[in-house]
Amino acid sequence: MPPIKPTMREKKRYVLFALESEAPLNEETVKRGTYAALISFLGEYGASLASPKFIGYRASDNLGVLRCDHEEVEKVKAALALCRTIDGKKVAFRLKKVSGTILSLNSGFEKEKE
Amino acid sequence: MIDLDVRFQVRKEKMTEIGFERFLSPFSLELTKVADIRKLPPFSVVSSSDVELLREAAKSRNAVLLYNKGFQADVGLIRDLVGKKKAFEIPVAPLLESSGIARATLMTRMRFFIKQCVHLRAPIVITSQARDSFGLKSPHELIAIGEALGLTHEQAEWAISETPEMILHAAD
Repeated sequence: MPPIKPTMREKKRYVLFALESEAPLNEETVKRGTYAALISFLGEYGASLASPKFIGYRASDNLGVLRCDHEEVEKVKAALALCRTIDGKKVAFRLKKVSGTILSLNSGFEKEKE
Repeated sequence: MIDLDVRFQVRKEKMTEIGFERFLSPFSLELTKVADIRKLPPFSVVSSSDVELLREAAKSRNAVLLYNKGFQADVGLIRDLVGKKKAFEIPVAPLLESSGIARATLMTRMRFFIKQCVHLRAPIVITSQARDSFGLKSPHELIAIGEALGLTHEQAEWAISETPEMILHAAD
């Protein structure tokens, strides 16, 4: 099967966020909480359009990355902003940066560490 | 970027870190009777579900932000604010405090109210109305929520920058 042309691929955006929480949370909990927030705000249909994928979360500096469709990025940002609790603990997502490539987000990761 | 209604003691550094140049914690009052309006100090935020009380408050020089708690799209009330150096407050806190169908219903009412405000050219201001640090939202998040409520990106940006600036300038 020939590969899909770059112009035909679905365009993605990577959202770098910092998580402020009243208690430490592990990656699995943050992942479940993030998906729950998206389903709660966008619904199953909206989430399917956003095609979210949790890339990772670093508990040491509370930074995480979520991938979504480029046309739905504002809705994903709103969904994360309106998430108030994960696992019964108060949280606040602080959106840091949105990028088209994960490589440039890595530089954001490094800047945040500094 | 300005957050005009933060309801707890927050450090300036924290707000700068989030992305706000300025923030305010003005006097806020839930109106119960017309007499309350006469006692308002300068630069107050008034809230009520009663449209008639809010229309009275719109005449007061000291009430600069009006929070229509029921988001009733009353054309008379909205017209009262057109051309004045006041605005309707669109807080994010009620959205954070609700969930499920209650949040969906609230968003429907907010969206229709905002649509009427935009149509009649009444100024609106998006605020966090945060009561703790978890309730604080960055300018990007407020813009994203504004877009979810039916504003364009530019209108949402205007609601946290130019309109608050106009209100502060008028109050000085």
